[in-house]
Amino acid sequence: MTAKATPSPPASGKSPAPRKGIFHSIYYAFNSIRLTVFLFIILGIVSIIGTIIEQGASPEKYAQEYTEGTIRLFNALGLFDMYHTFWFFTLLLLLLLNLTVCTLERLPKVWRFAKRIKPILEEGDEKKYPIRDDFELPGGAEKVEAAFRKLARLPYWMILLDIAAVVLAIFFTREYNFNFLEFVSFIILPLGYVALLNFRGKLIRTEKDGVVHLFVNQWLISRFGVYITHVSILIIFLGAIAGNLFGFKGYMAVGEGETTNRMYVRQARMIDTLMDALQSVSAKTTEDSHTSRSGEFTTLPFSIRCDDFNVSYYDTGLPKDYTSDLVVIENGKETMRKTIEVNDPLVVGKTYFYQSSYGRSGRPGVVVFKVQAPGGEFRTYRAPVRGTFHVDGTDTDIQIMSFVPDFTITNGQVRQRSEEMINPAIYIMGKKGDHLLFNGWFLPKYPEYSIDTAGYKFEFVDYWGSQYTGLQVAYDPGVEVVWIGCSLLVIGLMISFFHSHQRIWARINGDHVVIAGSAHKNRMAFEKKIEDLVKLLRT
Amino acid sequence: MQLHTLGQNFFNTGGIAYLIATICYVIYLGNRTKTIGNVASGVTLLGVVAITIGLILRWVEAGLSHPPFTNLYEILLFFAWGIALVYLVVEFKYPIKIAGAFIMPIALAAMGIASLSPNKEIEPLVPALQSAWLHFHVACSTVAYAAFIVAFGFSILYLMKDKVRLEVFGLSVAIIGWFSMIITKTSILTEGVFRMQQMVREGGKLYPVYQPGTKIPAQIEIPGIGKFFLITFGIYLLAMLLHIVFLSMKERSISRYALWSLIVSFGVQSIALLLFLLKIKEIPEVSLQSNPYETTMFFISWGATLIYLIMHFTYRPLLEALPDKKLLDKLSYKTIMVAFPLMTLVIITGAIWANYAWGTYWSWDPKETWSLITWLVYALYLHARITIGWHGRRTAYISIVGFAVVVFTFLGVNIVLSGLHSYAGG
Repeated sequence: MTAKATPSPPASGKSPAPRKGIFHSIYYAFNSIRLTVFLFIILGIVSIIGTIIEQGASPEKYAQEYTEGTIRLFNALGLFDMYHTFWFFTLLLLLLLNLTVCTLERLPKVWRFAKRIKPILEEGDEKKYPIRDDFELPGGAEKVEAAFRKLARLPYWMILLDIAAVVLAIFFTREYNFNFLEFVSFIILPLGYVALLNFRGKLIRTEKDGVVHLFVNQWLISRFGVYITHVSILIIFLGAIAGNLFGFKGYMAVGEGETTNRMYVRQARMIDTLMDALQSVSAKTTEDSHTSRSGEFTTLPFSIRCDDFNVSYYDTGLPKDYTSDLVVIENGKETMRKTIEVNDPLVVGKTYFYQSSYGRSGRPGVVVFKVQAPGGEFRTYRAPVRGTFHVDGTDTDIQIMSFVPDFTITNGQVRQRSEEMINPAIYIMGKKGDHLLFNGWFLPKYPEYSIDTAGYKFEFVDYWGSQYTGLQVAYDPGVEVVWIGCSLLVIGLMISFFHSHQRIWARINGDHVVIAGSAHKNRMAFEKKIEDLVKLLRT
Repeated sequence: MQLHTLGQNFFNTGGIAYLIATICYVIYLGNRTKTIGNVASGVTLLGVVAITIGLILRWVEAGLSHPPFTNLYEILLFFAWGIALVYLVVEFKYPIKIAGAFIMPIALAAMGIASLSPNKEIEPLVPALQSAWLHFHVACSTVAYAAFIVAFGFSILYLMKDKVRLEVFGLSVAIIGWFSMIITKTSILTEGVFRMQQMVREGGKLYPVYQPGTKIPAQIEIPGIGKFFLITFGIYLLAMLLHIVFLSMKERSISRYALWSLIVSFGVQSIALLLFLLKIKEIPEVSLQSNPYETTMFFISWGATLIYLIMHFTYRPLLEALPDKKLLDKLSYKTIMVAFPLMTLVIITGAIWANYAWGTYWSWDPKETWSLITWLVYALYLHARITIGWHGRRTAYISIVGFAVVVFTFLGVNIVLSGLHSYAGG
């Protein structure tokens, strides 16, 4: 630490001499800012390598890109799944240790310094401080006290700003589903900031031997901002570790109309993996262990039913929304129902179900129609392809001959352009007894190109039952901890960068006023502040 | 559609204002008349206001459903807006008008690249982008990156004021130029022809074309410009060598040749780029997005050379006009201090969004990783500065490394590495 960049608190009282011993030498090795710089650089370089070599790609892809020898080398170094290797983990651990030791070493010093701050400016003490002034002021005590009181007050614009932040927070949380996350980021964060603002410091007035001492101690918290930041990083890592140990990630495919509790485990709970490893070491295989392994199927304590899956499209053909109507079934009873979409998951307890993919299940679907007979009302009918349904209140039967999800005509031939429901087309045949009413393609998106349906009106609803919805399942007990850490991180950075610890003393002996001040950062602005104060007092 | 045209007009106005402001700042660099300086700031402000109105109109046009930062075009506009705004704030607080000549060209370049973008329509949001967090994420990232770039400008000025030899900058520019040519595949170097990826437009989007039945990209030769690029490459190589020779021998005459080599390569490159743009308009099968990485590098190297030449020819007056080097150092530090918490917010809001969309807040996706690398570089800067007490040249060099990383995170990752972030496609 150099005095130039940040004046470290004056170190008085000897710090205990480092004792010899292996533990202590290791401990002090971690108390090094140069180690931090080194680790930042190494982590940076290593991370870059991880973005250049594609992570977790298929062996075929690697075989295309690299020679066999390179692949063997990279595999040995774990470069294909670098961020989960032992050595990467070790680097992170070193950084954490470094951060912890540095904090443990420095925080008590700052703490002691804060405790030693005196509210009294003794005769001659002012010489210790970079900014000082003295002048004669008749009736000084009251005037100086009034000015100091103003200094110590919370500025109104700050209060207004915080009210605005909270109002905005409420607006956003109402607009976009209130939940814990928003709560932390938008309510706790601004409110916490307001609370910290109150550390701005009170005016302390002491009278000693007829001399009045005034002292404003502002933003002492700013000296602790860096430790709040460091602790918040530790909290984030704790949350991440908890998430990895006790959380899991999985995948479920649920067909339309199907109910299932089977989940493919993508990433098992690390604690299970560890237990597995322990058990295999002790060679005890217990049959009833409930551990699940990555790459295997497991069952959830509840079932998910998918009532419907839909994709909607913009006019340009880009997808607009993927939605799944999900129902949670516990002990045979429906307990929850939600239409999920990307960015809006289903939450059961602490397990989240995210819309992640979809596809054809291979089962035949059912065409869902709304049909209106001449003079009648719209009614919903369902029929499979090649199936027939009877229109209620008439003697008409309609048969569905064919269904194409994405209809196109090339060279006079009807073709299916894609599997997506972009331009669905249904070949329908209407019969009144033996008399053919209509026969041809019905295009819901292009009614003008559809066949004439003899007064019957059709509305296409869905081609139901042929798709499945792919759900990403995640259980992460650490995620809230991570958010709290993030919130603290931002607060810590703000108070350490945007504020400086400022101390202003005044000693008033009759008409003689001595003012001294010190700021641990941004001294130019502070100097100006004191100059303005003195100018104001003198006029 | 009328609203759209109106918005476009405001963006054009903003672009022209940036151009005029850049010219004024460069003139100001030379003669330092107060009027020109005020005109420069005034026009910049005008440009910022025009772009602000344009962005608001675009937002209204999108039906207020999402703020206008979803595709590359919008992001670049927003970015150009952010750089000028951050710079104006600094200029308002500190006597540092000279820096405008170095920072405004970057904003202008962003506007320029934006105006070349073929997809200017408002695109509807694909499902993954339909999140409130996206808005915070993008807003924070643009301002943070803009601030980092302004800090970079101050660092360069610091190095100049600290009398780092101009030729060091010249060498860097030559290396950038040489590198930009190296990455254009070998066809330029071996055959003297420049080929581009063939694209096909379908449903408003561009798709690359492959040779039938293979995964080998189909390429189209752009006639006439390969030679120009080859010559530029040669001269950059020469410039690089001359600079190295000069820096090791310190012979004055060599310095003159080194400068001339950069002037000539700038001239040839300007012609090459002009032809390149004209040819691309002519040939429907290719677009600027065919080879976005190379295209971007061409423009960056061209711009860097231009700025270096301006620097060179205004060196003496510039050196006199530059404020105290301590102030420059401090400004760079202060800007980074503002940008760093914002960068932290960028990563956090991105993580929250990812957690909503994919069920995991961190997946070591290249974009995520690169934003973390950016964060690490600036964390290093702050620790070096605050705790170790480094300042001046050493921190200025970290700030320059930071700039390179920011540019790569912002544009390079999407272009070079595959990932989940989608905006570079549009």
